[in-house]
Amino acid sequence: MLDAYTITILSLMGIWSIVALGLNVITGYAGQFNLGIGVYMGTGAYTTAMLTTAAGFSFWEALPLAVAAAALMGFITGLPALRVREDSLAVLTIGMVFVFESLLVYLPYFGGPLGIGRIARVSFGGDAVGKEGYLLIILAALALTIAATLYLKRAWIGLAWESVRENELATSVIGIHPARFKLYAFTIGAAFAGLGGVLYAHFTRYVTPYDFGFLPSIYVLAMVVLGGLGTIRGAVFGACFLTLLPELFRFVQDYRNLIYGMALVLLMLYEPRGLLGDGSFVWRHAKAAATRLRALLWHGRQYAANP
Amino acid sequence: MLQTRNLTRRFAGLTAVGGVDLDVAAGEIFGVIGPNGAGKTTFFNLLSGVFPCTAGEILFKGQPIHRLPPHRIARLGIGRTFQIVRPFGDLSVIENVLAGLGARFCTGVLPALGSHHRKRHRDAARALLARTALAPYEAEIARNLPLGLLRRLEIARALGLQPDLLLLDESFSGLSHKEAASLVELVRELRRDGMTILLIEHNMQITMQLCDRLAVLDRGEKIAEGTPEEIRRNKRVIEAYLGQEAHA
Amino acid sequence: MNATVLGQQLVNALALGSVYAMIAVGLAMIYGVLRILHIAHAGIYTAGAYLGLLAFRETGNLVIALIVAMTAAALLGALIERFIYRPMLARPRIVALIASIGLFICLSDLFRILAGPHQLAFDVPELAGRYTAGGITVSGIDLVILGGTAAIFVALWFVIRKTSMGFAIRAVAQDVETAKTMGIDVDRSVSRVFMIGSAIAAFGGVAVAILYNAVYTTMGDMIGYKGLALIVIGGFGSISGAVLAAFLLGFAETALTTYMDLPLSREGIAMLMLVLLILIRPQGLLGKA
Repeated sequence: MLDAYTITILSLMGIWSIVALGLNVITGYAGQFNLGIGVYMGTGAYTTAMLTTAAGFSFWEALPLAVAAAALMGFITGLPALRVREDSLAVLTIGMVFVFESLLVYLPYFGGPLGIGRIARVSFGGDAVGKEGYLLIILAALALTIAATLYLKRAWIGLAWESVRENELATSVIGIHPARFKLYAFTIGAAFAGLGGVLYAHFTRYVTPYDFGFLPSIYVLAMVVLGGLGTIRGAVFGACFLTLLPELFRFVQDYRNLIYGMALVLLMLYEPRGLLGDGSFVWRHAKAAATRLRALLWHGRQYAANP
Repeated sequence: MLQTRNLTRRFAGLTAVGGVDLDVAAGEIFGVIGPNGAGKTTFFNLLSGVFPCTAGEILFKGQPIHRLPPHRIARLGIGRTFQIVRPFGDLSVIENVLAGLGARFCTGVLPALGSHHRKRHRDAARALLARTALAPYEAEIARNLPLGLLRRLEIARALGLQPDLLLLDESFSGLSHKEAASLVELVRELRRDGMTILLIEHNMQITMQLCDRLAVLDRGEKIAEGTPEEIRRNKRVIEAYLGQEAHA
Repeated sequence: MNATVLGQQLVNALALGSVYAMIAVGLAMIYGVLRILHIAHAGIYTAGAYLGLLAFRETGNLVIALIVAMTAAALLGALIERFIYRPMLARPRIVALIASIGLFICLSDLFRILAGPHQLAFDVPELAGRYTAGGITVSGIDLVILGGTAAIFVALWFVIRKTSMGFAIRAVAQDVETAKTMGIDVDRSVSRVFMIGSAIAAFGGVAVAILYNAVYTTMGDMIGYKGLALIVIGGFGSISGAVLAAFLLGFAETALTTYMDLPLSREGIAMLMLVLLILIRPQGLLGKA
């Protein structure tokens, strides 16, 4: 089958895709700046870590609880977010992720700066699931997340989110309560990020506060923005790309921040909608190519029918 | 249909709207005019709940609405457009209109999870597009549309909740002669279908031909009210406008 | 606690507050004219420290080093405004925010690559002297910080209130369109704001580097994020609010870390203040509602 290294990369790509999709709901669909997705991912990760190590829960038992905890955290952090406008919101979320990381380091229950280790392996039907099996679990979760976000986008809630994002005042005068939908976005986005956190915790089997701080949150934001804010394909592509990149090019690892930073700046200057965003260079040409291909196939069929 | 009593808004020491009493009957087309800075848009913002009022009250169909948030007022049956258009730029025309229908089809958590791609939703949206002559632009992205179409889009979106009262804030601004004429027709049609319309407008010609009655605001206060004919002859109104022109 | 300890803490708090104020002022001014959260400002602060150190090593003269650092920082700030932020003005706000974050991350790594990951010493023997009065001991660098801050603020006040350049800046911060109709060269004013803000940040960087005798690549991180917190706490668009918030934070940090044992790092304290304040008063201390 696949070798261990490939499995590791694919697993990480899957995990970060799920977190990125969560951020995409909050910042992409609903337009709420959130520079602290680490809070929700961390809540999911630490909850499952604590439940499975200290309280003897199994992965499957801890999973829904951890996701629910992350969703709750999303709701709680969403409440102050209602009171502030864009810029304050960005700074507020930065503040929240710092406080979160700080509390994890300083409060005794969370294992301090060393975090929680020796997190249980996942077992299914009595046997420990191997790396390949876990990859399947991750991919299943990813498929679920993609399906869910796709569904939400096509539902009224998705339309309400996009309206709030585009123009909050206009949204309120057509009878939609912006605050209610912002809270939905925070809660649901946080749940997905929390799911990613749970999978992360049982993958690395070791979590520290620094895994979920400001910089990791910015990395996720970079993933979503790189791929295309507000699109599912963008979030997944960005996550996969930025997970793969340091592996493909070792030197990228050494100059990681320099390259990421520069890439973000260049991207914002020349392709702010992301590489796969609507209207981006790549996406437009991809769509044009697809249209031409379809026309070709259709004409081909026509031709075959009437030579 | 709509009554305001002593409606006042003070902000940072300025009285933007001061003690305005108004009575709009059902089925009327009522115009609110006045020189620049007279407080007309602030007045609309008070009516639609965007600003809280400092004093006074607003009664809609007999119910006080001045303490309600904008989305509740909208659901009670007041729709509005904005002086500077506020379309949902990234969304298509039909999606803009669908958003306007959102509150109608989606009144709780569960309905919010229903798809907006169902036929009856799309048909309802298309009906509104047809009514506002926007059908050919259905799939266009809103930010690419010219102003004239955007103004009609805002109206189409506002109609989603089937309002009894429609507030049009300078909807004729920046329109060509032809566009304005077709919009006048639309407004008249809406009134024929039973809607009450309150409009702010700078274009005197349109105001005079469209409105049944007018109120004139100057520096936040109502200085005159009556039929277009009466207003045209009103000395105070002329002075207020001339005062503006002297500075123009 | 006796008066001398209190006095000592007062000096520490003032020095800390001054440093925060230097960062916050630039951030507030830049936000005032461009409505952009210039997170990369902290990178300028760090650049100032490195450049100051370099210049000091070459010339042995602190004054020259400061001038070099501040001038170079001003230039850097102007370049950033011209080539990165200006093209983004028409775009949605999140674009500039992300670009600023990217720029900051990039700059931080650049310092690591150019100057090495290790901490460098910034030793200025002339300032090592300690002066005692009324039981309170103040080091030379404390005096430089406090004196420099005061001088900078006086100069800034003068420029903003009494010069035409300052008037232009205030007009642009108030309303760009109106400023244009008044014939003000908006681009030039914005550029100047960046230069002034960056120079002040560089001063702060050099001062802190000497104070702790350390220049390192991540020295800007916490200052940067705290700076953001400060302009929110102070109220967006209010320079005096930012300065007030800066000193409040300096005092709060000094007091809380000395007398209480909160489960928070110093950064956590700033951020907690931020979160609490936003909840209670979203428009900030001196911001407009």
